[in-house]
Amino acid sequence: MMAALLEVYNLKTYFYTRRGVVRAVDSVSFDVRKGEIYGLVGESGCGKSVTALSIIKLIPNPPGKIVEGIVKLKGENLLEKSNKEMRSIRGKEIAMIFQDPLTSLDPIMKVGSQMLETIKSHYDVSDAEALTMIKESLHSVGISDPDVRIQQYPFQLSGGLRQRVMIATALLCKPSLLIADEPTTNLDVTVQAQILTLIKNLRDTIGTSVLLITHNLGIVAWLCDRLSVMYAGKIVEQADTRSIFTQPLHPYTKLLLKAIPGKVAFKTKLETIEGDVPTLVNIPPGCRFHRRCPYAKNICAIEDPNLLDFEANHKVSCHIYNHKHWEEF
Amino acid sequence: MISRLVKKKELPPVVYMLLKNKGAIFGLIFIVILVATAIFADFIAPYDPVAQNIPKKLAPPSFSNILGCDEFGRDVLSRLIYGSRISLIVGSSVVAISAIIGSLLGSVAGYYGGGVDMIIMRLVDIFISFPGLILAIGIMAALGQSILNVIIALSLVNWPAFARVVRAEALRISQLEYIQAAKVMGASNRHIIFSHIIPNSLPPILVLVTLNIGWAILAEASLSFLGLGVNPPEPSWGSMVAVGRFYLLQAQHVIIFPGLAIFITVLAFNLFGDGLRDALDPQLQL
Amino acid sequence: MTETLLKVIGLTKHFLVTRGIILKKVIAEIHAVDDVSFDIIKGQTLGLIGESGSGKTTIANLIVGLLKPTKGQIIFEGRDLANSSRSEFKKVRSKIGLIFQDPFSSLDPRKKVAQIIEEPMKIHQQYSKAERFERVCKLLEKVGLSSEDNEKYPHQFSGGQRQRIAIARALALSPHLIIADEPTSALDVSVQARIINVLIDLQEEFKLTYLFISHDLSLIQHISDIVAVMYLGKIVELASVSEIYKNPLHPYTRALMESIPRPDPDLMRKNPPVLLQGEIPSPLQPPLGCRFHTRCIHAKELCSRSEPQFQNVGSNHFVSCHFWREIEEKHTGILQER
Repeated sequence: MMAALLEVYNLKTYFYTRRGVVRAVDSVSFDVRKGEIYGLVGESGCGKSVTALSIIKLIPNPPGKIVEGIVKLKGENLLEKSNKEMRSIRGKEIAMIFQDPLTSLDPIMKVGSQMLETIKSHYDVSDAEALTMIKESLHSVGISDPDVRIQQYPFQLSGGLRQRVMIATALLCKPSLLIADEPTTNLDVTVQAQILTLIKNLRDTIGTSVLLITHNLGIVAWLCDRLSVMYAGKIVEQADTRSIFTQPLHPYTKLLLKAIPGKVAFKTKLETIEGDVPTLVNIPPGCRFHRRCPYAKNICAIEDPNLLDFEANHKVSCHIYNHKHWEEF
Repeated sequence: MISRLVKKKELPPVVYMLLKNKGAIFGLIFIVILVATAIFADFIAPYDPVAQNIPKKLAPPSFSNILGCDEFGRDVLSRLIYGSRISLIVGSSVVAISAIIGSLLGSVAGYYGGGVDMIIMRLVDIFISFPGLILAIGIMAALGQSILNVIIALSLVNWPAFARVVRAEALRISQLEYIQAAKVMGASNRHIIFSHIIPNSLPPILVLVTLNIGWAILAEASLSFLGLGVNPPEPSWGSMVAVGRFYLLQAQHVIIFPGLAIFITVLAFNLFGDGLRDALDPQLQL
Repeated sequence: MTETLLKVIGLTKHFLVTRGIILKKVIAEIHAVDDVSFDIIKGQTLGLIGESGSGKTTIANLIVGLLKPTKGQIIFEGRDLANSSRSEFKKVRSKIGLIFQDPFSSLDPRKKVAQIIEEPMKIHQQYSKAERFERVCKLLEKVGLSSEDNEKYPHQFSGGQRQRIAIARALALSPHLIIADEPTSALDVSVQARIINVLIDLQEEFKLTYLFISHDLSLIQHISDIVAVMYLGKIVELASVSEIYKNPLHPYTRALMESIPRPDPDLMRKNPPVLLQGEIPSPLQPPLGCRFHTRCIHAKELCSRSEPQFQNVGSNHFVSCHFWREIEEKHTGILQER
């Protein structure tokens, strides 16, 4: 059994707004092993991005606050670290890439300068050594002419190239964990395939662990070893990838898989999920999915189910699978 | 206390943010008082503002004249009260006219772009290149002295501010898809400007309006101070300050009270305008 | 009875990049759309698929009149829109509806839903005030919202709901053709499913014709009758949806299909996405000859010299590739699992 690189336990991140408390992440627990690509999957508003930002402690405070939980990287609890300590961890131990490289890269700095800045903030090296590291990194992400790219500004690069530069920057200090938040959502399909193959190769060759956040189940099926499905701030199902797709347990997971168009269907209607995502302010009691769930029973409106083992390595939070409530179903 | 009121009913976020801002509340209250004073001047003022009473010349504040009398024995308080009318009339007219002209030209410039934009912006540049008050003085010299001409002069100085702000908004809004949708529907450009561009430019226009009124009042006071504003014996805060200069050593009250009136009024509008801007800005982020 | 509702012939749009305001000097030319031709039959859905720079949005803009074509004809219900005057075009506008990609910027945030939906009706001065209101309520219900929603403002709705308001607006004048430009790209999968279902229902009820633009091949395959694949301003392949799926002839079509990750882990392990090398060339300087040849694994010398013809290779399957026959022979068998 591989060692856990990242352990997230009972993470709770709330946002305090004038309308009330938004429980964006409400008791989320999972772990990412060394050399693994772990997926955090869900639709908008489910809390996956907030989870990622909580892990590297970039939640804006106010109005957000990590209320509870433990986030252990290589055994050390990040939530107990000071800002100074986190600054040296970010970029070095954990790196993050985002959805829109155009806004994550400084538009008035040349690519090379930005990468140099990153290196210098973590390592005490000469400019020449830094330049070697930069070129190596750019080369490893498939950029064939690093000398040219170093001198360019972000806007001069295509979307795919920018994302590669982002990944190269993230890899400069050889982080053990790469968090990728919807890294290919804004890219063309063919470019997406290139970038995702790159990420996979990085894992295969250097052994970087990846926390991949996405709403695209196709990407998950291809890249992820294990995953958690999130809904309205909670994890509803957690297992290895194959089990999720071949044996989805949670009603939300099942419906989500059915809603994906996947074959020639001559305009037949897709399966949908009735209703809308609940607002995360003043959450009513019970399971957060019960209003939209075709299997909901009385117990679902009263008690919020816990994430329990159904089989080894397959957890689900739904009363259907809890033998205590079997009479209801 | 206010937060309790707010929690009971759902106040629109703009109002809520404003109420939280103490400066804005002070500003608003003062503005309301000022407007009421101007409207009900006939009922509030104890004396006729132009009635001279030479025996009381430069009388200091007393029970009969709370703020004292000026060099002709006229009651300062009454003159201040009637003077508020001038300030408010000039202030609101100037802002209204420059807002209308500026918004129209600005939205046309931002929406059409190209040559139209260039011409209008050069026009803006021409007007802006003169220091405001100097331009106003020049226009007044050409037109002659009267309240109407003060309004015209200050409007001509002020409209570029609105034009620039609205042009920036129009540029931003023109890119948005609902403008494209309107074009696809077959909407005329006129319809798009009046129905979509200008209404959506309102937040910055409103902020500018409130801040601008303070400026307009001060500008009118300055012109009156220079003797270019209202004609005597009409009371205007600016002219009262101008005259008060000569009696600085003997009767400070003649200059202090009108000066204070100008100061507090402009402050009130600025505080309210600032609060409005803050209330409208984060709203856009929500 | 198959009636052609929209016939596009040789549609071309070049954007001129100029410098200077008074004395304009042309410094570059963007070939956004080049010699595109297709038909849409009444009641059918044409799915237009392409990545960035393909020109698919430009085509939508040309058809609805937001842009004027450089060359070519757009024949809608017998009338050539490309060469119509403004007033002639205005009459036709009411018969074409457009749905945009971004539900957050395609509705005026300062207008109530009722005003948004009735705006086309007011502009074309059809229907009285009472009739307009009645139509607004009916349209809201048709798209799955409540007629009471007409008093609300867009920000009170979710992305999916706003898109439904946009659909209601597109239907306001009972159009014959609806162009949907990436209508679900900004939405979650479950929300997308509901929007698609609404579109399918409406098509059946009102006998609508759709031009559906997307970059999502799975979605296009699901709802189209005919599929047109675009690359760098040209249509490279056009065929019925089952033909394209069973027998994609153009290397780019194949590359698209093979790049898409499918929600099936076993399949992904056996057949991981095949990578298409390089990036999409800039439309400022499209490659000479076949525009795809710089990235095509089958490219030969001919491909860099001569542009292939857009030809009908049997049963209304069009492709523009010099070597489609050879490539087809090589590939029979590999794609059957997908």
